[in-house]
Amino acid sequence: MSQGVYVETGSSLHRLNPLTKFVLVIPTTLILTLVVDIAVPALFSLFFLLALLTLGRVPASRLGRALLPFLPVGIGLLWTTAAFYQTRMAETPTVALELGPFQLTWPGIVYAVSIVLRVLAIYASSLLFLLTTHPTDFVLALVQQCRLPVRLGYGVMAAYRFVPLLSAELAQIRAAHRVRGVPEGGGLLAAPRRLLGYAIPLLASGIRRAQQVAVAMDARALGAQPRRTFYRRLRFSRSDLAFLLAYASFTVIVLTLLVWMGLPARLDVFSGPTMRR
Amino acid sequence: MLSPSLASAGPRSSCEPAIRVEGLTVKYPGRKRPALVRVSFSVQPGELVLVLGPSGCGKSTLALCLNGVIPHAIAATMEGRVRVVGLDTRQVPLSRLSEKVGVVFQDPEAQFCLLTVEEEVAFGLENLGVPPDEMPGRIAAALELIGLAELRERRIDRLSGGQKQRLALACVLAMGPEILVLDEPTAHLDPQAAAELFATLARLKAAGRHTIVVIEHRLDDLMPLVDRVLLFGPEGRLLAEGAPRELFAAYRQELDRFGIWIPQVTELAFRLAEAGVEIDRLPLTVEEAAETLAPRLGRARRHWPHMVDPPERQPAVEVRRLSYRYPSGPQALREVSLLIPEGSFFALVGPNGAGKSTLALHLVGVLEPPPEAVWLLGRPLRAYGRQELPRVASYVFQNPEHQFLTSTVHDEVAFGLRAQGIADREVETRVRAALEEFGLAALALAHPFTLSQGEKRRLSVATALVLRPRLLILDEPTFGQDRRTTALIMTRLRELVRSGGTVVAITHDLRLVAEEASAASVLVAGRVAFAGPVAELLGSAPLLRQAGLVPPPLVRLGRRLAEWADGLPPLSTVEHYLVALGAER
Repeated sequence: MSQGVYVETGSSLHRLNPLTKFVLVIPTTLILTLVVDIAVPALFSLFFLLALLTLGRVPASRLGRALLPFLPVGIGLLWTTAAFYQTRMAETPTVALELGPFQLTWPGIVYAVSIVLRVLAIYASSLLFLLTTHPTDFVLALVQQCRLPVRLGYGVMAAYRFVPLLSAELAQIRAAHRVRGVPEGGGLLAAPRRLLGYAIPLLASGIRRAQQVAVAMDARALGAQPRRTFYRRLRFSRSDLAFLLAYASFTVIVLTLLVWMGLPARLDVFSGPTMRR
Repeated sequence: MLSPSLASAGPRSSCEPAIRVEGLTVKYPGRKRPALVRVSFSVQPGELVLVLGPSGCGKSTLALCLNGVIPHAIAATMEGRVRVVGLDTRQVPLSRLSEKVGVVFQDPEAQFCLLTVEEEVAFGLENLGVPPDEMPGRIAAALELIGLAELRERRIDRLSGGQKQRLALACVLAMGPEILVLDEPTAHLDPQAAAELFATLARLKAAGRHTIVVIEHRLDDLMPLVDRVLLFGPEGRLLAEGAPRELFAAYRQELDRFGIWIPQVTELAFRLAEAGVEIDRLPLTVEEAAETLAPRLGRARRHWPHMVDPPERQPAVEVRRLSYRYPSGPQALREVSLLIPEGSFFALVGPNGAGKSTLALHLVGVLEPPPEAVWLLGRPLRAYGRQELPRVASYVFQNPEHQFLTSTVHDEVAFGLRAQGIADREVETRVRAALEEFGLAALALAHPFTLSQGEKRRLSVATALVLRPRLLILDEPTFGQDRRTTALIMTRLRELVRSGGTVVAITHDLRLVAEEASAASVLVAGRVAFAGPVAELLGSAPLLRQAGLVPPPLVRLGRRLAEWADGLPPLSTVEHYLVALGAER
C-alpha cells in the first residue's frame, strides 16, 4: 500500500532529522529566485537529485515517477516564457524559430530554460524532503523540536493513517452506488449530486472513526500529564550537521564561481537576464 | 436483582474488589434517555467477567466509565460512583487511571497513531512520563506477553487485523494496569485471528495478574475463561449477573428476545432439550457438550437419511478463466473458473484480500469482465443492457451505509423499483410489503443514517430483495449483527432460494455456511482453492486454515462425538444433531 510519494529505503537521508531536510527548501528557494542563470539552478538540481539517488538510495524509477508531474509544468513554462519574452534593448534579437505569430529568440529561449531549471531545482529540493521523510516523522519532529501541541500533533498522525482507508472506502461507495443503478457519467447537474452522495457515507464513517481514535488516545492518557517523555527522540545528530555543511559548502562554491566569473550583475531580481557570451 | 442461586462462582477474596460500580447512571448531552441506568456490580481481583446485552445497551459506555474517559474526557453526565482498585474515577486524574485500567477497542484501524509496533507501545508510556531508558524493557515485556516480540520493529500498516488487536492489547499492558477491559475485541477479526486473541486472553487469565472485563458476542472459545456474566437489558439496566451456566438457563427467554448470541453448543443443548433429549448439565463449551451428549449416542442414528441431490439445473453463474488486476495494484484474480447452480445458496470464503469481493463485483458488472468470462443465467454478462442487469442481479455491500442514496427508509426501498419504471401504485404496494417483512414499517420516514446497525442491515437487504433478483450477492451479511437480525435475514434468503433464486454469500461466518449453504468455494490469493459441497469444506481442516477459518463449534463437537461412536456421520448444524440423536420432531 503506497501512500504519497514517500520511498522507504532506510538510508542515511531517511535518518536525518525531518526538519533538516525541510529547512533546506528555504535557502534554496531564496538563492534561486535571486539568481537568473542556467548553470546555478542546473547545479542545484543535480545536487538534490544525485543526493536522492546515492545517499537516499531512491531507485531511479521511483525518482523518475516523482519527477513526472514536473514534465507538463516544465514544458508549459518553457513555451510561455520563451514565446512571450520581451527583448531588451541591449540584446540583438536573433530569431531562432518562427511559429505562426510567435517568434522565439535566442535570449528568450535561454531565459525560459533558466526559469524552468530554477523551478526544477526548487522542486528537487522539496523531493529530497518528501521522498525520504515519512509524514509521521515530520509531525513527530514538529512536536519534539517546534513545540507543536501534543494533542494536535498526534491527532494529525492518527488522521494520516486514515488516508488509505478513506480511498479504499470511496472505491467501495462508488461500486455500491453503481450496483444500485446510479450512472457514473452524467451532465453538469448530475456530477455534484453524485459527489454529495459519496461524501455523506464517507463523512459519517470518517467522523465515527475519528471519535473512536480520540477516545482510544484519551484512554492511553494522551496529554493527561503536562510533561511527556519520548521513546524515539528525533535529535539533530552529527549527520545532520554534516549534511548541512555539505549543502552550505556546495552553495558557497557555486556562488563563488558565479562571482569569480565576474557576474555579480546576475544577482539581479528586477532587470531581465543577460546573455552569456 | 441478584437472585441467590445466581451468586458468583468465580474466585472470591475478602479484600477490596477490583471494580466496584454503584448506582451508575450516564447520560450523553442531547440524548433523551440515559445510556446506563443505576448500574451496580463489583468484580473481584483475578475474575474474568463477560458483559452481554443487545446492541445499544450501554456496554461501550460502561467500558469508558471503567477507565475514567467518562467523565474526564467525554462530556457526559455521570451519577453514582465507579471505584477501580480502590480509586474513585471521578477524583483521580486520567493519567493515573490509565495505569490501572487498560481498554482495547473493537476497530483495529482506529486505535493507533504511530508508525511502528514499538513506538506505538511506547506511546502510552510517553504519555505517563516514563523515563526513556525504562521503556525498552517494558515494551519488550508487553510484546512478549502477547506473542508479538518478533514484530517489534514492524510497521503497523503491515500487520494483519489480528496482530493489530494483539498490539492494542500490548499497548495497554505496557502501562501496567491491573484491570483490562476489552470492548468487542474480535468484532473485526476473522475466526482464526479471534481464536488467537482468545488464546492470548487465556494466557493472561492463567497468569492471574489481571482482572478482565470482556464485551463480546463470539462466545464459544471464550466460555472456558468466563467466571461470571453481566446481562444488560435494552434500556441500559443491569438485568442479571451470575455464573454463566445458571444465567443462560434462567434468562433464556430474555437472551432470545434481545437477540443476544449465546455459545452455539448451549443453543444446541436448548434445542435438543426441547426435542426431548435429556440434558443433565447445560454445556458451555465443546468439551462439555461432548461429555453431555456422548452417553446419548447409544440411540444415535448411524444411518444418515440420504439427502437427495437437487436436480441438475442450469448454472446461475458461470465464470470461465477470469483474471483481473487492479490498475495500480496486485493481481486480484488468477484464472478463476466457477459454476454456481441456480436455486442454490452458495458461500464464497477465503482470507481477507483473497479476491472474493473482486470476483463478486464482476458478477454484477461493476467490474467489467472480458467478453466471454462471466455468464449469467446462460447469457454472457456483457450481453445484458445497463438497465437489464440490475433487474437480474443485486449486491448487498458489507457496510450498508455505502449503498444508501435517499433520505428516507421508504424512498430507499422504492429507489430501485422506480428506476425500473414500475408504476407508482405497484411500487407503493411492494415497498410497504418489504418494510413489513423486514420489520421497518414504523421507520418508513426515518433517515437511513439514523437507523441502528441491525436496522441498516435489514434495510440494505430489503432494497435488494424488493427487486426480486434472480441472483443476490451479499458481502458479510451477518457481520456485527445480533441473533434476531441474522435470523430474519436468513429466513428471507431461504425464501428467495426456495423460489428458484440464487444467493451468493461472501462470509467468514462458518455457522452461516454450515446452516444455509449447499456448496462453497474457497478463494486463496486470487485462485480457487476449493469448490464443492459444504460438508467437504467443513471436514477439511487444512482447507479451513488456508481460508483463515477454524472449524465451527458444532463441527468440532461432531468430531469429538465421532470418537465415541463409530460411523457417526459428520454433524455440523443443529438440524443434523436433531436427526442424529433421534430427536426429529
